[in-house]
Amino acid sequence: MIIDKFLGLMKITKALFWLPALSAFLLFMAYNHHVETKNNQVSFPYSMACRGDFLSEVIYDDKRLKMNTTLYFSFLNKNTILVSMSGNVYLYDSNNKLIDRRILLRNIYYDYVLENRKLQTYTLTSRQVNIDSVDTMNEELSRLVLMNSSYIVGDTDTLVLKKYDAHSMLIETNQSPLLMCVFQNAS
Amino acid sequence: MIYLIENRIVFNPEDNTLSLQDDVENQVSISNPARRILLLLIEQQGTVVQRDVFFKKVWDDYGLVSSNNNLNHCISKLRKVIHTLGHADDVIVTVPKVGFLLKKEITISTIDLVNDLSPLENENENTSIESAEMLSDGAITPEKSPPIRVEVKHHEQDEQPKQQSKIALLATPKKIHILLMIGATFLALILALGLFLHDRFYDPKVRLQIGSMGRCGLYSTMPIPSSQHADFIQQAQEIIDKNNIICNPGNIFIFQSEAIVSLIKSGATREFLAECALGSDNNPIACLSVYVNDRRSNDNR
Repeated sequence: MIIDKFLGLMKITKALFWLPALSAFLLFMAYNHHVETKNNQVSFPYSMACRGDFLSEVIYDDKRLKMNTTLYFSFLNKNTILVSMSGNVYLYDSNNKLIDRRILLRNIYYDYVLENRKLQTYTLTSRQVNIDSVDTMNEELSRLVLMNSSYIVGDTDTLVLKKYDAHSMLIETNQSPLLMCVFQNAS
Repeated sequence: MIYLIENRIVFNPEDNTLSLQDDVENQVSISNPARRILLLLIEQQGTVVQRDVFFKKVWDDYGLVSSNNNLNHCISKLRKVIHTLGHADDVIVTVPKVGFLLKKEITISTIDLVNDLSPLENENENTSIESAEMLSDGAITPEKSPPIRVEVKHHEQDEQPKQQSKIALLATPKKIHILLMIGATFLALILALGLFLHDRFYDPKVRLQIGSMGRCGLYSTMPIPSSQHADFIQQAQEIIDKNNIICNPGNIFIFQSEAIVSLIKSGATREFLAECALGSDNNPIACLSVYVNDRRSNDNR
């Protein structure tokens, strides 16, 4: 009978002893791997920086602003985030006439706190804003297109930093997504 | 042929093992001399086997050197094994300066090795065995065995069929138990493999895919009820048209609008659309994000 032969083979190879142990080990490893993968789905590759191109448009009754920037985002360490912004800001009047153009080029160092892991909510307080010499942003335009903490040292903003997939992070305010940031060399 | 001692200890001379009847997988091995000693004791159950007989039939006939030390060591080993298998009373009695005997009260029965899993088929078989056949078949025992006739005594001969029925009943669940264990093992292996493969190939954004815009997939940033998919796609199309965004085949759009999740116009309608180029592993390699915040006054609902 096939079953008897099979049982005989199991007995000869002592498989009844090592096969369950091997299975338990593999199951344990798979579960560990699964838990690790699940954690990776919400935690970022902290050692890598991400980058994204950002076209922002804010429309008011009497004016319209456009900001074209490239944004670099990096967790420098457990406490610090570095955001680098480079681009242009355009101001149009109600007739769509360009009335001002400014250059944006700055590095902002944030102290950050993970307020809620499940909600992936962080508070970022700017510790240092290094404004490049070519940066021509004034306070009025900054107020209209930037977060406060991007131009006022010590100000705090709340962001949701959500891992979208293995390679990308969605930067959101509580109201809306802002930017999709792609980790470099993430493959 | 194997022996059942006290209805619970299985002695298998063919592979020199002793085990519990209900746990035959956990066998205790004994040496060839110890096996021959136990066979002699079974053969002579109730009578004293003299030391000289042991020397001759266990060692000398096999070209081995006999000694009191060897005999005592083997007896000690047998007692220890039987004790380990849960039989507290000493089944082998020492008769000082004469030899050893197997207690008469001990129940010994036999099971046909070939049909041990279906002993009921051999109920009427003669229970006396030719131990020579068993010892000289050479499959396991390397030494050539002289013919030893072993008369196995059944103190409860009339209970043998009942006994064998018990064995048959125990053997089948044991087989099922082993098969179940093997089944569980393979199930665990499949589960482990499944977990590995799931984690390897699972793309978290798949559950956020709403549809497609031309040859570009359309995704949300959060789960959207299927009843809102049409509205979602329409609003995505509007922002794509308004900003003259072109779908490059293979790219994906990721869209979200405050209008989807909010019932009122709060004075700031925010829309977000990202176009991402995908790499070979279907993950983004670069993204362009468009964010529109309409803060025009609007006192309509």
